Amino acid sequence: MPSELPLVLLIEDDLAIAKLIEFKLKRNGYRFEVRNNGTEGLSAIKEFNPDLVILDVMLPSMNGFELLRQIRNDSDIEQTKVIMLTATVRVKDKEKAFNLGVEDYMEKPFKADELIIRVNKALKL
Amino acid sequence: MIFKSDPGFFFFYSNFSISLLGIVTLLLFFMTISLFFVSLGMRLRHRKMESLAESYKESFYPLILNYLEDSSSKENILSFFTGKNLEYAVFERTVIRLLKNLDGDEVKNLKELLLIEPIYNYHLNQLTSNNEIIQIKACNYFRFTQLINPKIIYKLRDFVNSENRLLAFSAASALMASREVSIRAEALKEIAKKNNISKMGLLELLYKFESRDNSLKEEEAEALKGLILDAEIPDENKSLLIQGITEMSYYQLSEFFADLISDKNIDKENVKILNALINAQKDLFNITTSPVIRSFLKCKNYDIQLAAIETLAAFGGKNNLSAIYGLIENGETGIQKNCIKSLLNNNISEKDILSNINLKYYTSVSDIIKMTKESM
Repeated sequence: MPSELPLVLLIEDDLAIAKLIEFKLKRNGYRFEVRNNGTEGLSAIKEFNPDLVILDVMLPSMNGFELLRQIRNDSDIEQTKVIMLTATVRVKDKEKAFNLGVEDYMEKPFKADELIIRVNKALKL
Repeated sequence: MIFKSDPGFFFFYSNFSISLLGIVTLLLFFMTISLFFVSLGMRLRHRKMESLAESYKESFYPLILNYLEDSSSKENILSFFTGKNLEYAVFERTVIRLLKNLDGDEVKNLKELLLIEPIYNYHLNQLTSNNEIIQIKACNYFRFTQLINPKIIYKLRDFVNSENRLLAFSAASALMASREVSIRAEALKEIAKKNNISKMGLLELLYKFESRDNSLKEEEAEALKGLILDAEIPDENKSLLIQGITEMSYYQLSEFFADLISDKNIDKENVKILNALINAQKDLFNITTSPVIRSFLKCKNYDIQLAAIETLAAFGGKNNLSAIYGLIENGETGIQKNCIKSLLNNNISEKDILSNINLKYYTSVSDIIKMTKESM
């Protein structure tokens, strides 16, 4: 039953990363949706209620932290699991992300297989 | 006035003006129409190329990602190419885009994709282009892949002599992949000969010059000595090379630098070179040059005097420190401060400094130490 496969939503503006993650996730039995800016990302979370969101920080229209804050402030979607995937390597940003309740935090450049392991772990699969 | 009264002339004149106006109008009209069609054509062509590039990108992603899972699928990629330059350019951009974001084994596999024959040949052809931007792209490819053979070296050596600095630098950078020390040294020399070359650029090239192959170390050191002695290289660049060689800890040149600074015929007015050489003695810890360095304490040039103070403070030892204490007692305030700063930076305590100076200077030196410490 394909609809029972976990749904991962990627919010990322880099096409190369989106294609790569889509490829890897589909191979590992996930459904996949992608949005390339923060505003559309938030709408997609409300629309699809994904099992997990992989979220970039530097995004057009609304940055990753602002989007994360809006997720946590909306009672309908506040439980959404989020993994941050970002080129931002400052410890302060990591701290901010964990304070906003992310499941995990990965830095770019990243190992694609490691991301899948972390997705599995976040979804306890 | 006589013309105005002549109706024949007026008739001719007015007809001619109208005809000329008509011709110019027609000409302008046709030019506008032509420009419109040319710009329309260019726009359509650009749009077509963009959509073609997009379709190539869409085709390459699955091929590349499949290859990352199973490297035997490289054949599928090779069979995709039909010989169009746009295919190679888009493929390369796609691989580089992924390379920038990925880490681990995938990086190695992606890099191998940049070495496949169609891409290599594409850049080989770029080398023969008349367009310098395309030539630079080719140089950057060979610099990145380090795939150079005699034919490519021949072309790159030609580019190193180019008036276009970016092209010359890119070609010299690519030549640094050569195993031949003489080829690398020649490229470095050609760049170092140029005036107003960027400091970072020259140091980067010097860094690439070092092959990290221990069997070539001696030969490389000899080539670098040749550059330092080369009269064609401006002093500014030569001093940068000395600084770079020292920072790279090229101990093979330690004795050479010591001989240079100890040479009685050294140009004492050449501040840039002297400064670099004095600092080189400090960084390479050429303590045997202490007497020569001490002689530079008397130099009138502030920068050289300062370099000598710092070097002697770093060397330590009774004679060197005594020379510095002498300057603390008798030197100008700026020099006194620098002497104290150098000693403090070399972990010599305030107490030790004060115990080594004449008592009559105790209070004034104590004040200077306090001021120096505040400014550090």
